[in-house]
Amino acid sequence: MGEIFRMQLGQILGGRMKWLMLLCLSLPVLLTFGAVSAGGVSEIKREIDSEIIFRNARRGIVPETSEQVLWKGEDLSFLGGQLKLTEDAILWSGREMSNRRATVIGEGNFIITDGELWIDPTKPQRKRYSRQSGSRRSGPDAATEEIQLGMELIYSIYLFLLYPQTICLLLALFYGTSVLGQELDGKTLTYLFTRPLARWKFVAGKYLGIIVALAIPLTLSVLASWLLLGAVGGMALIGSILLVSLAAIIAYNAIFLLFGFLIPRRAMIAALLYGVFFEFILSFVPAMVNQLTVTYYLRSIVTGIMQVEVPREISRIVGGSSIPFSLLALLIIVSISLLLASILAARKEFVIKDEA
Amino acid sequence: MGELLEARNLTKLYGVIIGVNDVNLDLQPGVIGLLGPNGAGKSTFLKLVTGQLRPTEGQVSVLGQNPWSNVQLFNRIGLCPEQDSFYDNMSALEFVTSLARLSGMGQEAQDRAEQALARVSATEFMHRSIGEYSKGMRQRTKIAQAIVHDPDFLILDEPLTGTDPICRREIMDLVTELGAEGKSILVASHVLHEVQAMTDQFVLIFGGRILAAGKVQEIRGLMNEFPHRISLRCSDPKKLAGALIRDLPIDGVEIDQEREEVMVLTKDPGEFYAGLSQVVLATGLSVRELTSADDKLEAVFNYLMAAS
Repeated sequence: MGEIFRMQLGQILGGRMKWLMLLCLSLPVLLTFGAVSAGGVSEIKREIDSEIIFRNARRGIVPETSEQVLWKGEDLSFLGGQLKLTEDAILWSGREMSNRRATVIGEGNFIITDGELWIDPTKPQRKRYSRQSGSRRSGPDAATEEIQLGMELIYSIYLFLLYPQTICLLLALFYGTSVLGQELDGKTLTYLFTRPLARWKFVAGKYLGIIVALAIPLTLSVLASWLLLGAVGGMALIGSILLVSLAAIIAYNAIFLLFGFLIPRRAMIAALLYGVFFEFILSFVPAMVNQLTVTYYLRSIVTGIMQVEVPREISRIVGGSSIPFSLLALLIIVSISLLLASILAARKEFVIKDEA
Repeated sequence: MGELLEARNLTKLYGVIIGVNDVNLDLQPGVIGLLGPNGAGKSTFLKLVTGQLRPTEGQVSVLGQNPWSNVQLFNRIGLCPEQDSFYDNMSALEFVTSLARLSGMGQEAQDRAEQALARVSATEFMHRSIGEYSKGMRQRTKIAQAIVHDPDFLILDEPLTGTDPICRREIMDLVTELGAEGKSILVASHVLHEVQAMTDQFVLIFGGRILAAGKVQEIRGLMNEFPHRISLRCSDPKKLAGALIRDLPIDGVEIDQEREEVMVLTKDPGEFYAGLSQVVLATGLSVRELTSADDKLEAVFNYLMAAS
């Protein structure tokens, strides 16, 4: 098994297949870089910052340091962005605010020149959101945290869709499905299957070779994308995304490896259909079937670690299983796939087309 | 030592296509040639013998064991497969060492790989990647991986394909040497004289059937019983055919007016060829083309097939 593992590692890292992996793992980083530099991310950030101010203000949170600003008889104090007073409207960061929304008190430093009120865009202090003390807590940071969580959710959804749901699926599609097909097409299987090597060791060695070859580059790619996003969300976010990314390649490769043994020459198409219909479409159907998908458990793990409060009716779609149960479910999926693949490897004929 | 190989009603179908058809065969240890034209079922037979395929019907046993789903048997079998395929980014040494490890070797794997490669004169190039090798180098590498674990029974599927005369000679010598060391070797080939140089024990396979098995003398005798086919092309095949029938030892004639061809069947090709030029000259015709279909093993096998 050790030798098969080593050979598989060499095939992925040494052969032409490494370019495929490099492409798969650098694309999402480039995509993230593109989104950040095109301003997409800073736009989101600015929107969220403004939202924090309004929400805090709506709760009547007035930090002691803030100054009161009156306009048309109402209190106006804002933080972050630019406030401009006109005769009958308030423009905040160039956006028109209704009177009601503007009737708020915020925190920050204000500068008044030539009849215009400018607000120093000092950002509020960030704090980690935690479910225990977060949303129900009142105080200066309550809304900040709430919105912060919103932002983290957006980023974690982005990273989740990018890595476990797409890149990991794609990597497994390329590597997991081709474990056997590659040896059949390359007509090299004969060398391996005419050795005194138990077939389950062949399966296990190949499988571990793929996982190990992919794990480190994948981790680096996820980390790079996260850093480009400003290392948002701290350990909980990156930790959960890394964990489910690795869980995704572990689970998908096992399933696709089984596909490879079931239908060696059509495995890629079968895996693609499975990926689209099961992991993308069915995984969102709240009718038990989605609990047969890998994505469902991956989502459960992420929402669990990030301690997102998911409403009951939505949790059936997003993934509402506990972390231990989700891990167990994935373990079962992986074990069954590898077991079946090993049985097939030992029992099935794999015909290599003759030279002639 | 018991039986090397035993097949009973061994049949392999691929869907409706017959790969091997009701083969009964007993082989004693030794060097044996498996002779048959391309597509005769050699490779299918060897895949059954090496447990890569499961018989549709009947059974085969190798060294007293059923090869299907029996990976332990591969401690004692070495296979040099027909296909010219490798992990091209590996060197011969890495390749053979890896396969030696799969044969259960530990520390000694690399030493044994070097020995095996030396035995096929591959030491010189064994550090280069296989992708850069010539056909001959690749054949040598394939044989090295088949002998690295010192198997009792070596199976070589078309080991001489694409090799130059020197390499051919060396491989033939190696087979003879290994045979002399007491190894059993089954060499599959579609070229009679190649196998003849290595052994006088033959199994003839064609159309998925074993046509004959035994010493080469017996088989040659069998072949001699069947007429040779010789084709001649000229402008007036009827006239030529008439002259040939009158003056030469001929067992049959087919005339193809359209292709301007006469196909002659003769059991005495020596005398036929000796007298041919005289006869042709006498007719005043000019023969454009003369081919002996018997150069092709397939033709011989077709005769044998019809006879069996």
